[in-house]
Amino acid sequence: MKSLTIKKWLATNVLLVVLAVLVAFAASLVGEKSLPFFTRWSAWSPEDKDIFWASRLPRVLLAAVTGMALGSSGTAFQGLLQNALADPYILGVSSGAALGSILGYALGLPFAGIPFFAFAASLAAMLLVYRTAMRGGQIAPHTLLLTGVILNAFLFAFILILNGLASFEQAQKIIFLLIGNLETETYGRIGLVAGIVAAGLIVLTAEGHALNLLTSGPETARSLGIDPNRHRKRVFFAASLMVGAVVPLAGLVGFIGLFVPHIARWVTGPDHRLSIPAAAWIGATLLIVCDTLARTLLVSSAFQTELPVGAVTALVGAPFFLLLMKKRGRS
Amino acid sequence: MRRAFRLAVVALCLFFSAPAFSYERIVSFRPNVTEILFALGLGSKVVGVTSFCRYPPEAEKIEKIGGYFNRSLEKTLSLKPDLVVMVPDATTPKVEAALRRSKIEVVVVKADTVSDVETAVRTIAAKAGVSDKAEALIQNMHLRREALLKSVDGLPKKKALMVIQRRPLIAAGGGTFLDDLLKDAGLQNIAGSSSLPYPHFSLETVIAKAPEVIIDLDPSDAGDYWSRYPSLPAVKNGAVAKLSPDLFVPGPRIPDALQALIDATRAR
Repeated sequence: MKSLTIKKWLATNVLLVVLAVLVAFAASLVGEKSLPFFTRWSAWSPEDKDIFWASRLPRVLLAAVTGMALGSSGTAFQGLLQNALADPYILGVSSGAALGSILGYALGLPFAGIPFFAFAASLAAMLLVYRTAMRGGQIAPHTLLLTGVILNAFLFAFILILNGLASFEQAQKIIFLLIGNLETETYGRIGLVAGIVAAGLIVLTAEGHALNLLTSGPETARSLGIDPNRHRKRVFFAASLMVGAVVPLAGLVGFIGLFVPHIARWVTGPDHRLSIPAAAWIGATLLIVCDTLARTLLVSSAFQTELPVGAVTALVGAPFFLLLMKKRGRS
Repeated sequence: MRRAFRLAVVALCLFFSAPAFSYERIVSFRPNVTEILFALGLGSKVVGVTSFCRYPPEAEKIEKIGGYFNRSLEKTLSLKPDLVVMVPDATTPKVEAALRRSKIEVVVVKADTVSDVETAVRTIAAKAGVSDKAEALIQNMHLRREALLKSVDGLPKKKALMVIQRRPLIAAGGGTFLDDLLKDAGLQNIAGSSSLPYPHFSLETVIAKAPEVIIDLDPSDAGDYWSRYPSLPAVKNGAVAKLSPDLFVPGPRIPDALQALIDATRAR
């Protein structure tokens, strides 16, 4: 773990950012209409400009920001909770954020307030799961996951009650939020969410060292001058803030937070100082790919319809994850 | 012999007229069904409606049996209906079976297209013994439609998009009564070729297909949503019409909806 040098850190991050940017560029080439990417901007038709600037780019950016948040918060959760199956979706943190944002929308809050509403609910969900699974300074891995499952069921019940009370149109929107669906958003909203995600990512990366020490047990960490509780709180806070920021816009996008950390650790090794930012870039890359599939697969078919991105991430993510588990079992 | 014949005639009349006039307690499972019942003069016999039945205004005062899909069978039974009228969806077969088991008559009418609506009017009227009213109503709808068709005759066939919901973007696709209305207004539905009735439409597709008219039926405030896409011809020409979805119900008010659609999109 000491082998992490500034050079390796920079090289890996730069490489993954370049990959994410390339994929984002490729994704903005793909769509209903192909755009004249190799001609001057001023020579573009107004329709093409609109398609790129008002529709495709914001969507690719939203996918990138959402993937960053889910990938890096998933990595932090898995490290902190010492559990390879921990992710915001499974632990009920995302559902908490969904309930918070539905409540926020129902109360008619302005958009800027909704991520914080969602954050409060996701942090509460996180703390509840954590407190329940904590037994004498140790986290019981099965209790952790089971608590997440139960909490998810409980929060979904609340969401379904709200759904039953909502008007027909609102109910439709709640369903899309539950499936996980990316829509073209305004740059203002994406910017706000991106700011929160960036702040969370910096905090999580800075906590990477503490996370590394915590993996060797709270006692060892304490003997090395680390206050486990203080760092746990920071990680929970930052990760919940990121999830709370993206869920109001993207809904419950599953599996990204679960399998991206595995890819990140496979690429970078277990050091959280590197695996957390790496997971952000990998998460962005993968969610851009999944959303490009979601918006293009059926759009030129007889159905002429888009798919919810949550369905695509689950379709891609579940088999991938099974494969990963099988491989791990063998090695 | 004569007396026997007279008795037979009276008996026959009673026999055939009995079911036709015996519905005194009708429950409607859809807003458009409620509108049809009222238009056929059966409003006073309606004892139960959904919470979405807001037209005519009298319907709001009637007992509610639930919403669109979450209607209460118990509430329906407690109203002691002798006839329940419903539009088929995923939830109706079970309710229908349960009602029939309780010996309550059920009429199921489709309402996907304009011609479905006419059939629905005729079916309900025949069941309730007011077929003459149905013919008058349909005749009136036809006359109004023809006059409206004439008013748009010769106007250019503009490309149009009807938006049910902006976020996610759900459009009126082919095979729906909304698609029929767009055609009648002399508009060409850019989502009409989708094989889904209400496709989740891609914003890029909308921009690429360049609708000249957009009819926005989303009840929430549009804000600056459409102005973010200035290349859309409909936006450029100020041809984004925000209409209330309450009028676009597949029932007797179809000519009113068509009138509103034409007024908002063609009368300039």
